[in-house]
Amino acid sequence: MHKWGMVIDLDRCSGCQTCMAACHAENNIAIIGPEESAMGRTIHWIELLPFIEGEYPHIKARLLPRPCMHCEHPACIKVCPVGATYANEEGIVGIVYSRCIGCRYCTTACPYTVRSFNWYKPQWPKEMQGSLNRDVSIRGKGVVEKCSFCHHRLLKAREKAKVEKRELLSEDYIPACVQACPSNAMYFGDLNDPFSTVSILSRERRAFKLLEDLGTEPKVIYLSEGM
Amino acid sequence: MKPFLIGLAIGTAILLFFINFGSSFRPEQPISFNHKKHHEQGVECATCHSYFKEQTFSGMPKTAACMECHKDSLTKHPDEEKIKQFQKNGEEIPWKRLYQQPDDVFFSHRRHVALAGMECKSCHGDIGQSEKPPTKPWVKMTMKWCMDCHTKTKANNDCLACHV
Repeated sequence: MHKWGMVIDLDRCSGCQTCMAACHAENNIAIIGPEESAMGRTIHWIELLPFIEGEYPHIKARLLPRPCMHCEHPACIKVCPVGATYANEEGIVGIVYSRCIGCRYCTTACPYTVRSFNWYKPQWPKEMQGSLNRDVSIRGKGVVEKCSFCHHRLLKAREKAKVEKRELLSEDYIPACVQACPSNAMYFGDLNDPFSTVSILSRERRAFKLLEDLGTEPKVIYLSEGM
Repeated sequence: MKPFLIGLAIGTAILLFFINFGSSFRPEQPISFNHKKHHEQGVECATCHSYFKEQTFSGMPKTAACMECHKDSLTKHPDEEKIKQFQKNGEEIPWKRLYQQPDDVFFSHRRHVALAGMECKSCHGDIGQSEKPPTKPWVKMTMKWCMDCHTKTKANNDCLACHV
């Protein structure tokens, strides 16, 4: 069984936000206006969080890309009253949108604040409507959404492997953000395979996880010299 | 007794009205397509439903596809004239959709037919032998129905497999 995970090398990340743009295009994420944005209602499945590194006067402003951590012990699943969010066998935390009642317990419970609530009916400019991704459903008003590690790509990769009559390889499946990253700061693969790139990198000296002390065991691992 | 009879009469009238109203909503296809006859002539499913092996959808035949054979009158059926009329006006045949999945369900014909090797029959019944176009789906595609089959065939029963 695979256990999909991501490694983000902060020493390589230039904070260009290509991952965010790629994610928006891939996952049909609704575009939200400036007023609504000011109320904190924007939806991002991956977001760049600013932080300051070092101590004054030797400080450095940095950006940290934050997708869903797909935790081994996710807080969001425990609080969902309707079982709309769950972790599948491969450790991907998914949401069944038609089950979600929009209570937003999960958005509160998530220590990484990765979950967004759809305050509005999703809308796109007319020019963009034709280029929506048909593999990803459009979330309606009143449901919570978050990064799915581009799970639809995994399904497609499985299909392809089946047609070619071979086993699914780790390289077959790669989320849009990782694919788009121009500075090769993101890696994706099977954490259960001890020889995969992500496995090797996750054991590196620079590796750390966000809010590790909470015991959520995120499957997104960061690399940084400074921290 | 009299008010009861009047009530009964009105009740029956309303019932008949609703039955009539309901049946008028049953979608009737613009062309009374005979699957059996086409099948007997050796026309394959993929000739008209061109995409079911490659795409998520299977596709409905365009007027041009019909005209490939029906350019010269093959039959004396009045519907043949209808197709010609559609072509003359540059219109497509307005086929009515019977099978519909909810927005949050991802269904792929390719995945079921080309990859899992299922037959059309499993979901569409013996459509190849039908003489009239169906007026309602052969099966109500409930989640239980899908999942029962997925369990039986040991297909992926993970929520994310269909609810993408």
